[in-house]
This record gives sequence, structure tokens and C-alpha cells, in this order.
Amino acid sequence: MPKVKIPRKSTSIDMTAMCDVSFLLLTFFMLTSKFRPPEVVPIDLPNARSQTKLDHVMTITVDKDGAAYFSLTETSDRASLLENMLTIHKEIQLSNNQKKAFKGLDMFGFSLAEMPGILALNPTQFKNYKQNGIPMDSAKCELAEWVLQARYVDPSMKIAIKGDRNSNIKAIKQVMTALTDKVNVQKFNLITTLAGNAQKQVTKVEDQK
Amino acid sequence: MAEINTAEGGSKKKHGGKSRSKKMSTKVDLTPMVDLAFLLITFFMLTTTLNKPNAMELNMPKKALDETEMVKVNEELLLNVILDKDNAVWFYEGTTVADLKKTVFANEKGIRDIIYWKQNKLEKSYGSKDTLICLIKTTEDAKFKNMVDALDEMDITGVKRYALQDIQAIEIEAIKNGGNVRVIQ
Repeated sequence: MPKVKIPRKSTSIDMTAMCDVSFLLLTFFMLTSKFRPPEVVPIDLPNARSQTKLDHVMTITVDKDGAAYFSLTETSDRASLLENMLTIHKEIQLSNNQKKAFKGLDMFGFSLAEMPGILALNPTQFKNYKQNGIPMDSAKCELAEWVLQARYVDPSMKIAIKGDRNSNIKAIKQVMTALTDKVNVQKFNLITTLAGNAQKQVTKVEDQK
Repeated sequence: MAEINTAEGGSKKKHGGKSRSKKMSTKVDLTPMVDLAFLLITFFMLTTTLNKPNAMELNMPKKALDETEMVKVNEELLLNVILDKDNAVWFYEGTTVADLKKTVFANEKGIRDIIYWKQNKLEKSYGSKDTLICLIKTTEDAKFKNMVDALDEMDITGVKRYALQDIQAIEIEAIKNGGNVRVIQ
């Protein structure tokens, strides 16, 4: 009997299709992903167990000196927020260039009075400018106005408070009272980080000593 | 898998004496390219999901307009937690500001054990440990981290009812005196 010959087949597979798919996915992820915006102020987040993820938020950042900053993720939201603010504060006139500059800000912390001057700065000047934070005294709470107007832009937006772990509780409480009393928001989020980091645990132990 | 492409028909014998230009295969091995693409995909996938911040939800009560709107609770259910400077925590039960004790944030022998102890106590007398109400107060010297730590403890110990409250003047005085209020007669 003649031997049954099994034809030898090549083991190499045509990779073209796979390559196509993977590059399609790659393009998708590259286009949809957003990179973390550069930090205006360094914030050292407090540790907590919570792992709820946040999406589509307005963030009130409180740095360790107690200055408050406001940020919106969507540029389109920023534009309508500024329009809303300008209709209330008729005394502030902004040129189109200044409006464009505002749209480009990831985070801002200046009073309304300072705004036209700061928006007129060029990028390098702006980078070196030390922002003083949004005023939030009970008499003239501009922070509450910003939050309120941002709520008009998109009511579904959640409010997050991003505080530095070493910032004084007074500043955070001030932000909270502004939210509860002036904007009538009872529900907000505190941004935290997981305490998994070895280095962070060391600092935690040192703190306790 | 990754094999080097050799000219097709390399094993075949040459026909005749005529020298023909070698026919090179047009196939390129795409395996490394696919590898690279998938590496980049993984990178972008991970960075997009990891970019979202963790958050802790906090519900503040609506401010009561008058006395009728205020919720009245049993004094025995209360545990007051006061956050002070240098990560210290003061606590006392009920509404009478007396005999404040000092503790720390720690996994053991800290405020967590105090909460567990109070929960157990309430479970014995009221049948459920969810009856506990924690009032979190802060002195002016406390840090934001302390507040988050305290809220985190509520989450860990499973305290269902807790609230952030303004500190009373008498409590500040008690802390200054090391836990007790001087009796003024």
C-alpha cells in the first residue's frame, strides 16, 4: 500500500487582516482618548477606599493655600459658561481673542475683575502668572456664580471637589457652604486616590506619629 | 511564526543556462507590525480608563428653615467625632459635652475600633448597628485629609447615617482643656 502523503502546509498566516483591524482600533483609541491636561497647581490627593469613577464633571480645585480654581472638561461648555457669565456681568467686556483664550483654559482661578487683564496675556506670560483663586467670601461669592452658571449650561454635570490633602479644612468648608447655601447643591463628590501606593502609606504612617 | 522570506523558488533548479532576474516575493511579514499596533492599543486603552479620577460621594442635608423641619434623634445613638490638628481625633457619646477622649486614625486601636465598639453596643440595646449616627466636626486646624479619612472610616465601618456639622464653641473649649469643660458656677 502506498503511504498516504499528508501535504505539508505552511504555518505562516496572512497577517494583513489582523494588522488592518489592530490599526483601526488604534486609530479609534488615539482619537477618542484625551490626555490629562497640564496641572496649573500641583494637588496631592487624599487617600480613600472609594473607587467610584467620575465622568463629565465640573471640578473645583482647592490647593494647599486654600485658593479655589474652577474647571470644565468640555471646551464647548466653557464657551457657553462664559457667555452666561457675561450676560450677568454686563460691566465686563471681552474681545473675541479674550473669549478664545478663556476657552483654552483648562483651569482658572481669578476673580471677574482680573479676568479681562489675564485673558489678554500671551501664553508664556500666563504661565508665569500666579493665579490667586476665585473669591468665595460669603459676601461676594464668585465661585457660586460660576457653578450656578455651569449648572445652567448642563444640569447633568456632577460637581467634584478636588482638595489637596494638606489644605486647611476651612477652605473646603467654605466651598461646601457656597455650594449648599448659594447654589443649592446638596450632592457632590470628593476626588480621592486609592491608598495602594507604598510611598503614600509611608507618609500616612509618618503623619500619625 | 516569524520566518524570513526567501526568494520564491529558491530551491528550484535553474532552467537552462539563461540567467534570469530573481523573482522576489512581494509578501512582507506583518507580525512585528501587528505586535506594535496591539502594544499601542493597550497603551491607549489603559490610559483612557485610568485617567478618570476616583471619587467619594457626599450628600449634605438641606438646611432646616425652622424648628419643625429639624430631625430629632435619640441622644444614645450619637457618636461625635471631632477632627483636630496633627491628625488627632476626639470623640464623645451623646449630646453632653463631657469627657472627650483622644484617639488617632489607625487600622487598629484608633477611631475605627471606637466606631465598632459603639456599633456593637447599639446592636445589643437596639437590635441593629445601623442605628448609629456619627456627627463629624472639625476644628479650624484640621486638614482636608482628615475629613476624607473620617468619611473613609464611615465607609469602611459601614456607618449608614453620618453628617458633617459645624463645631460648637463648647466643644472647642473642651478640646482646649484636654477633654473636659470647666464647670463655671
